[in-house]
Amino acid sequence: MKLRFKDARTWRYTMNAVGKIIDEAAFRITSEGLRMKAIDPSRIVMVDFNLSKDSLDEFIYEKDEIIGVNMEDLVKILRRALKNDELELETIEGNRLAVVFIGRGRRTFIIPSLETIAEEVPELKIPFKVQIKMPPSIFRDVVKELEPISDAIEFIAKKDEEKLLARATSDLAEAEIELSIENGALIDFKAEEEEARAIYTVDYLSDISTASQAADELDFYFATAVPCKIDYTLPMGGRLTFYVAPRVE
Amino acid sequence: MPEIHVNPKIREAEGILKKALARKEVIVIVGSLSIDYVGRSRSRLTHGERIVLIKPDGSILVHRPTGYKPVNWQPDSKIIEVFTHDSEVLVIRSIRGKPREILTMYFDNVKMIYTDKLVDHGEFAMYIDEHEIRDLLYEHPEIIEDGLRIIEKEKPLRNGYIDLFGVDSRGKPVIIELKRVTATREAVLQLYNYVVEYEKTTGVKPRGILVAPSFSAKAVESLSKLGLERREISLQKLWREYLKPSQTPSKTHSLMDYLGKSGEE
Repeated sequence: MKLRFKDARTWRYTMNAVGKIIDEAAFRITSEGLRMKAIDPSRIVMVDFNLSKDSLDEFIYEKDEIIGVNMEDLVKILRRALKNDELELETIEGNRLAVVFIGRGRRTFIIPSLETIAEEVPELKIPFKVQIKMPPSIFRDVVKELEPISDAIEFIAKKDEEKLLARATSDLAEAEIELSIENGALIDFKAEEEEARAIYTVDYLSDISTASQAADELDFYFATAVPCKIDYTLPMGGRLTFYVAPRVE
Repeated sequence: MPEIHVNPKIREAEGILKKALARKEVIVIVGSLSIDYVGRSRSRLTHGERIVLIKPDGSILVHRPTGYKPVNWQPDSKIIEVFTHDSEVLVIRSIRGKPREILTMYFDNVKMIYTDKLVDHGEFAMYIDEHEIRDLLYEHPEIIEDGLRIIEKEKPLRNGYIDLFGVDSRGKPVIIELKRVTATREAVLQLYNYVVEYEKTTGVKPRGILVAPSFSAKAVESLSKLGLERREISLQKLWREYLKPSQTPSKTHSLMDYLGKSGEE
């Protein structure tokens, strides 16, 4: 297998977020492209990384393959990605993976591919009632601003007012951020529930929001007391999706 | 899955270690080796049988058959290399970045290798010292007795300091002596001396309470003979309930709760 992706930094930021959630990843190569689904050991976060062959500049497929990678190693290497670097991934003899940056010169890093058994990750069925589109940077800022206040963020979507409130409360302090299309923070707002409320652990959101740098768009789905779905649209049409289980008070 | 390899050949050992390092497993090697260290100083340990522990974060400990301290160690490693010389010597080299320190181990014989991914979410309970117990009981006298009010800690008397001094619900003075280990007869006598001294100075007979996690048989006997009281406290319970860094009471659902519900996807 060999694939080439236009912007190596997309991989750098997406894998940085993924690496905070799982230790090992199994990338599945099929004729459709590359996909990696995994759930964290605590079963609170699920990640689904999907690069269809259309989003790749070059894709040489020979057979179905699973590439097991230690995320710490991969993230360390991807940190070398520079602006204007392209990324090439190739499986090579001896069960190894070559990570190549093509930009100023051709920089090749080789890591072992682990004998990973790709865990069958179940499909989630979640009755989302709210879908909000926003610039990824806004999501990141919201998490960053509320993080010092509390270890959880409550999201409240108000259908009539067409706005999303993000709240953090602790014994000492409180913070609230109001986001709407009107105040320029949101791109789109759809709600089926009058008022949807859910609380998520800030640490997970913070880990996930580091992928914001790589993404063009972000769709945030949730409903009262159900998991949320954070769906990043990546340049060239890739997708990075996270699901986070809610907190119960 | 744990793997144990007994008396592997040098070449086999190389393969086993490379695989375990790539998987970031805990590795235990028992064998005969010599060690070179270059870094802030320089040392050489000649051949001997030792136990080597390599942890997933790159920390390495080399233990001799006796003594609790490792003879060589690396707090972390940037790179760990494994290779062989002529299929006779197995070399493991750990390179540390800052400060640059290089530990090289030369095995001429490997007796055993154990590799596994170990899971440890255990909680490390910190045991508290006498001052912390005193401060905690000062804040929460109800642990000792309902209605007890603490007026002073480290109250000076002519023959020493009372750990805690208070009054009970009926207004009677109470002298409290604390021990963080099993209270012995000496502790009882110490408390008794305070009680006698207090009565001598003020003319009022106080209650004396000895607070400890456990009491020796002699202590219990002396307490009852001298008309003093005792309260047993659990240090672990105190730590867990009062001193442990607070964690949010709320729980997080598992995504597994959301399989097969109707709706999107």
